[in-house]
Amino acid sequence: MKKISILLWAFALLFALAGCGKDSGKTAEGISEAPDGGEVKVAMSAQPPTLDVQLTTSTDAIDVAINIYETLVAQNSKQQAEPMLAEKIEKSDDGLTYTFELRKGVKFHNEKEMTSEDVVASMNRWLEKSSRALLLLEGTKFEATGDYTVEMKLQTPVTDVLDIMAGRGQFPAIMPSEVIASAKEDGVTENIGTGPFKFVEWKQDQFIRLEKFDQYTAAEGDSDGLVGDKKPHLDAIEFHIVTDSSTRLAGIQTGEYDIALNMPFDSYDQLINTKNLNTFSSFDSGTISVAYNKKTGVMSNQAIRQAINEGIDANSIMLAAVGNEDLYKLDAGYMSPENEDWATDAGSESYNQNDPQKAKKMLKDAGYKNEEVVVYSTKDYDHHYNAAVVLKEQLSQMGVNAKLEIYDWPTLLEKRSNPDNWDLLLVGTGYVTTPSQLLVLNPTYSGWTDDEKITASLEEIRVAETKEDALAQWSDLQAYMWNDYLPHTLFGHYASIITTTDKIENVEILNTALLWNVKKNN
Amino acid sequence: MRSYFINRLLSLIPVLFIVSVIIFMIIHLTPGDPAAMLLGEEASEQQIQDLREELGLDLPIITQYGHWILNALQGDLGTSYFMKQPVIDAIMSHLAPTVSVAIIAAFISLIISIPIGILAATRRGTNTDRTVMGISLLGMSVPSFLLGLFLILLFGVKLQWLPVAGYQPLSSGFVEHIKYLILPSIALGSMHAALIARMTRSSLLEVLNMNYIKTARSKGVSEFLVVMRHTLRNSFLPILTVIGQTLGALIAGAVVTETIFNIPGIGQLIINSVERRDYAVIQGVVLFVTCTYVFINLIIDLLYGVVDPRVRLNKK
Repeated sequence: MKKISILLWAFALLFALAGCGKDSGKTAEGISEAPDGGEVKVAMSAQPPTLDVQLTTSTDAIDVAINIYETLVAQNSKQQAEPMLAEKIEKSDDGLTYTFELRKGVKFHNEKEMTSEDVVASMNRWLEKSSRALLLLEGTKFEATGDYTVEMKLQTPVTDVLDIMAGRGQFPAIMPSEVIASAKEDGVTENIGTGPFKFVEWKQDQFIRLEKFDQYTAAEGDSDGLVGDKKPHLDAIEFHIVTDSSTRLAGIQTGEYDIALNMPFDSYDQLINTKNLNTFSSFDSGTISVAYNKKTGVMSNQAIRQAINEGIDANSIMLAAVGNEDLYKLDAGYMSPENEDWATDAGSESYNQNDPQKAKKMLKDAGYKNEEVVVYSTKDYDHHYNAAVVLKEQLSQMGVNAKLEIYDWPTLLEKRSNPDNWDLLLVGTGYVTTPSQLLVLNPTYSGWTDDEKITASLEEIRVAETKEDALAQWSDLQAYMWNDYLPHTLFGHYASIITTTDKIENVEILNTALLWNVKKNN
Repeated sequence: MRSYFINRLLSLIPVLFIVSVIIFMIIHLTPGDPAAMLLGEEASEQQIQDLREELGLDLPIITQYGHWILNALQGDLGTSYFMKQPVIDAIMSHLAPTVSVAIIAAFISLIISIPIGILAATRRGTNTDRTVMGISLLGMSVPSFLLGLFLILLFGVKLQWLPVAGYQPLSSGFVEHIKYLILPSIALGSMHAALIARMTRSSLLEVLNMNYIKTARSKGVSEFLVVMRHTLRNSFLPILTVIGQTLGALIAGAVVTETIFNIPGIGQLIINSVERRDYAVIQGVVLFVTCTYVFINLIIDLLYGVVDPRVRLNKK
């Protein structure tokens, strides 16, 4: 579809639709006079594989499911964990037991009241199904100690356990216990949560329709990210699956859709200059990096990884990937630069060195003998492919015998699981709430980071007494990742583009458009 | 005629069998795993393995094919991994948009192409003929996706006369239904219209040079009757063939148009299913499209007999 998009822009230029300049990245705030009600059509770029978010990390699934499901703890706008379906959380002195007092009177969409039975069933399923929970919370169990009290028992103290529970990928959605009981390997059969909107219809490859849940019980406190007093104002939301980005663009321009997610980078200038549209560039999408295969092949040599890192010009790669300086940030941090608890630039002395001559020499010293280096990428994500092409060029300048291999996404997923196939892999990773969840550091994730110091360091972060201790430990680890081990070379952070028509008010952006406070002004 | 019909139906069996084997092998030998696609890239090997077992993907390919073909013979094309619904339901729910677009596209192309084809043939060598031929050459050369994008920008974005994309079922009202189909139908039908116009012209010209046409003219039959009664009917066989191919192509080949106009039809179903490695759906759709194509060709063959008595006589 890339070619089609290019042609569309060519046509768009021909038509040269006039518009006046407007600030981007602003969030609509203030109290709206618009009445409640109305329907909003959201154009999304792909159909989610399932709405059972305990199973999937698909961002498309999460974009829809955060309206349907809620969790015990959730992220506020600063990506910190706060109570959501829990009213009060107590931690035992030894750090092994957490007691959650549940909010009373919270109704599921089937009008049943949420009790500890549902929470225990949901949380224990999550512990079994979520790969992060399996890795980071091994041996943890939930038990009901009263109708509205639940205990979580850990095997070892885990400082960031609440942050893990508030993470967005494979999140611990609370569902009715009977839904959990009848779930199969490929997911639950009903989508019932406690969220502000209830699931109504899924017309395959067309739309997913949610309607306002009249009996929604909001939490106390100001609405902030995924927590606080969320108020569903709209009668219904329809998520339309519009895979072609030029169609999403045309659709938002004509008002066919009210909100469009995942807009193409190359439409950004056009969008911010179009009247009647509000365009948000949100820097919470994630990072683009290249993973080194540390299991086999030349990249298992740390000195060769360091040599390549020395020669990388991150700016050219990011510019090629997203095509606009406003849409990326050069920053050595692996966590979101907006994350107040974890952002650090430790190790930046090794970031973006752009010295191919030095790299060439370092490669020679490291014993690189012109072996072929296979770089994997996919055209299914334009920014991955564009970054890979420039990376390959930079590798050649360093004297690396690089070969680019491009596959469609399902093929790439399969081929990259075999360490004998590739040396470098272009990856985009979403942000996580704590360093221990970073895929870059996961020994089973492509690239196979398996290093004693990293493992020990992660463990220390997880049992640190205070957040400050944990951040200090994480800074040390990030510096070690950059200056020594180099599991990946991070190129930069990129934004996602969300556009709404000016009829939409009160939209808050946190990874995606949050829709519960939204009003539509006709 | 009846034995001809039965023979044609029987000849379907080997065609469908070969198609089913080929398609089964191709998609199962293509890298990519539905279980991995369903669970996302962070899923552990164990989770993927568990799901593969539940879906029966861990069985040998021959066994999987055996299961599938036996079920297919009983009318059960399996269940979609992604949509969690029977494949036949998935096909049926995606069929209506495709058929709607195909019918309107065929309608638009026929009402344009046949008259202008006749016009060009009867005015051979004139400016009218040259204009028609020029436009039809353009129509055949411009790819449908390009024309589609142009139509979206002109009539959707710029003039805002018609919706840019999407689909409304007939149940939401006829006008609403048609409104969403006009642009994609034009985009899809234009190439076929050009093809049919050219075919009409050349086929008419061939017949217009026949001696019996000259005889009719010399007997003083009006030019209108010469064309409509004597020429058109006798030159209709090749035109009918092209129309038949057009219909088949419209059903099977609307992939790009459906993507651009976001019409949830068979074309989109197959593209999405390939991206998801949803084996059951891919197999089902390919079989379905093959059957449709063969069936349309069968109808066209039977219509030969109706249109042209010489075919009926030969078959006896």
